Amino acid sequence: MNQLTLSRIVRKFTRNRLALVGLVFVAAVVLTALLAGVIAPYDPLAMNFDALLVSPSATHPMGTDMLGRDVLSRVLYGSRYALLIGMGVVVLQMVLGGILGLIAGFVGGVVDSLVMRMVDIVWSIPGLVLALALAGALGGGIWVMIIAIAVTGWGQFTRLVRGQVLSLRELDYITAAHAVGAPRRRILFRHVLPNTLGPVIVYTTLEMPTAILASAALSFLGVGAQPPTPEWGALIADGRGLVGFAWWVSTFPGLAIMITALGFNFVGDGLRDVLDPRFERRV
Amino acid sequence: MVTAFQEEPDFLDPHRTTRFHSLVVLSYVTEPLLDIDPNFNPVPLLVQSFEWSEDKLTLVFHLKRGILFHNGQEMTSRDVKASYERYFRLSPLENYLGPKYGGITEIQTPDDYTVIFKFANPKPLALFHIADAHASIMPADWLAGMVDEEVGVKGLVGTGPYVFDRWIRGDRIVLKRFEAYNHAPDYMNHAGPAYATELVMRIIPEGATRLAEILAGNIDYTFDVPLMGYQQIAANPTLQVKMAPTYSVQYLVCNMKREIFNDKRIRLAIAHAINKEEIVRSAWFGIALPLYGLVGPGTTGYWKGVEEIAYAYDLEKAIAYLEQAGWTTVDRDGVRMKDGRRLELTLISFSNVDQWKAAAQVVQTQLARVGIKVNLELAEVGATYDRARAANYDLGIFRNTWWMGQPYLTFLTHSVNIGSSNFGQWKNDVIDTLLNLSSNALDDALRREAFIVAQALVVESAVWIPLAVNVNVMAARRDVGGLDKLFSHPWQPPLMRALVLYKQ
Repeated sequence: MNQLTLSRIVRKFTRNRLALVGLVFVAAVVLTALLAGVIAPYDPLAMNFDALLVSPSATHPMGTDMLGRDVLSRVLYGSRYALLIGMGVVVLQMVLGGILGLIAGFVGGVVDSLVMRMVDIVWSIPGLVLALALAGALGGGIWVMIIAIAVTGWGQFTRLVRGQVLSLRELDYITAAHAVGAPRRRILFRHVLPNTLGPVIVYTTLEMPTAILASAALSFLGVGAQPPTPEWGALIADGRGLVGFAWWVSTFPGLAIMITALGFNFVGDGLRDVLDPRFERRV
Repeated sequence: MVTAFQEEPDFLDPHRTTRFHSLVVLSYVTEPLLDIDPNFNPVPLLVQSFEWSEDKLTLVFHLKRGILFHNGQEMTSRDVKASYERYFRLSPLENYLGPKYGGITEIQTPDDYTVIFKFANPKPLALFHIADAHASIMPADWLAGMVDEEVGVKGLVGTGPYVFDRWIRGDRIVLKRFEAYNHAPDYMNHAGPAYATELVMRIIPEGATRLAEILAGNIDYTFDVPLMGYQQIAANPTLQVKMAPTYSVQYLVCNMKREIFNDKRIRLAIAHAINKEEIVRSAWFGIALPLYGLVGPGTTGYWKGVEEIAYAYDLEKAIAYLEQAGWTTVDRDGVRMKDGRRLELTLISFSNVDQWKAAAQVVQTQLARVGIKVNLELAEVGATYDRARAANYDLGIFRNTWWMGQPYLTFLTHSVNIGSSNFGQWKNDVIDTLLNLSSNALDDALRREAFIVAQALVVESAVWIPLAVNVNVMAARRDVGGLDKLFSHPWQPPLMRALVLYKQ
């Protein structure tokens, strides 16, 4: 990608107001995750038995939970888990799904059919139910949750990359590379793979909030992060029975999830607008 | 009189159900031969008197005359025999009285008002089991005309203060006052009939909905108060709240199959590091009581002395025990070390109940204060019990519920139950002997004494560390009367005694 293309992409992206708002949200979450140890007013695990379920105040801007822990500090530290889980899931999905898609598209034939039927099988099972079953069977925890969500969602990456490869391999420059005797591996990794990255990056950005929401759902259902980990889904679960009189326990982590999911979605939409040539033509 | 139920009964058959909410409904409709008075003594309910033979192998009941079933038939010895035979045949809870367990092998009915139980072996706790509402009496002829699965589904006939009227699944159960009821036990000071003409049990599983209904004044009284709404209910001037301990206890347990706990000083350090008050105030919103012995105050045979001998919260003592045991250095995370090993333990419990989840976290924080790192591994009930039975944990938090102290303590601590319900995984010959004595000794005083010493030794062992006992919370409208009477009984207030409730 040359300098001219990059500046054109940046110019187009910055013209999209929603994408900019999303970028601000994402940047805020990333900064929060990096600086949680500095900006959090309390230890997120410290219990204060003299301040149980205190409503939001100057001392505890987001109140405290049923064990007297500062909700703000837990929400701030929770951003680390959200990003860790989101990135962990998409990286795993991208690697697993991407490699399979690359192989299926490039090799074709039986291999292609085999890989795509595997995708069909995984897709035929509701993702959250499969993740719930896997996480339950494997015993819960952050890493188990990352694996469980990744296992249910790699198929889309496979389809995406395979589709890209199928169209790319018919192009003249690939035919030319074959004609001059370039090895298949070199063609695959030097000429095909880099050209599939645009849509993959867009999809990765859009998949982040899905992964974060799925992890929140699993933690809410009790098979995700183990207590006292301040994971946002678990924080919402902590407060679900308290909504009537301690609304703050669930509300603030819920807002954090919403802002993060919106941020990544807006950024993803913005990137799609600038990276997807079909969308550009429509515009 | 409208009450709210958190859970819908499975079926209303006293001989088949094991559910608590079924038992509550049943206790208004059907009755056993005996009742338990506020001092935990078995007292006559459907019988005039009873006597044991000298060898304790024969128990004779003289039935009250003129006790009517809801179908108008008079209760006779034939009904008792038929009911007991059915109870022995069907009840999943029957594990003491029946012939399978060396108990009653023959039931004789020499006349309409005399029933004789013949025992194969002495059963000193028989009267308590006979007072269990599951061993209720129903008419022999009516039972003969029903297949087992229809009892408590298509109909129910008993001798209780309320008559089963209708059950609209998922919505409500309606009971009507039994006008001929006149034989409530003496301690009630009201023989009957019940004051309220109708009892409507509304089934409202969702806590927030139940709370809204209570606050709106649509529920006259309920024992299923959502704990998270307790503050709102207590602050509402149109409502009143009452509490009494139940027999449902929660405890922390050390797995004695793990070598580290063979050093008693580690167990003592943990026992002294636990602050029960904090656990009760946070995990149970203050709506529970600290528990000092493994048998709770709402359980028969409870020995109050455990309150004196229980290990008190004392961080200095806890630290001293750890240091004596050689865990003297502390790493940069504040975790104690010995021979290069960190003092790190896994704690298992149930993830599906907020109170246990919270209690586990509080225990984790409390043990961290003395340098013990606890890793929580919470899972759903089945998975947690599987791990517990396989002894795959260091510490566990469990709950158990049983109103009879002796079988309950045996269930939790006797070595025959290692691998099933003795989660301390510990065999102690003295405790085993005391529990056997407290179950089988014919001498009442010896039996009681053995049970007291067993309770003391269990506390002293620090293998089981009692945490909290649940509290029965009742919320009622201000215009509901008779609540004091209801709570004069320390045990199972929801049962039967609703016949003294009234609306002003």
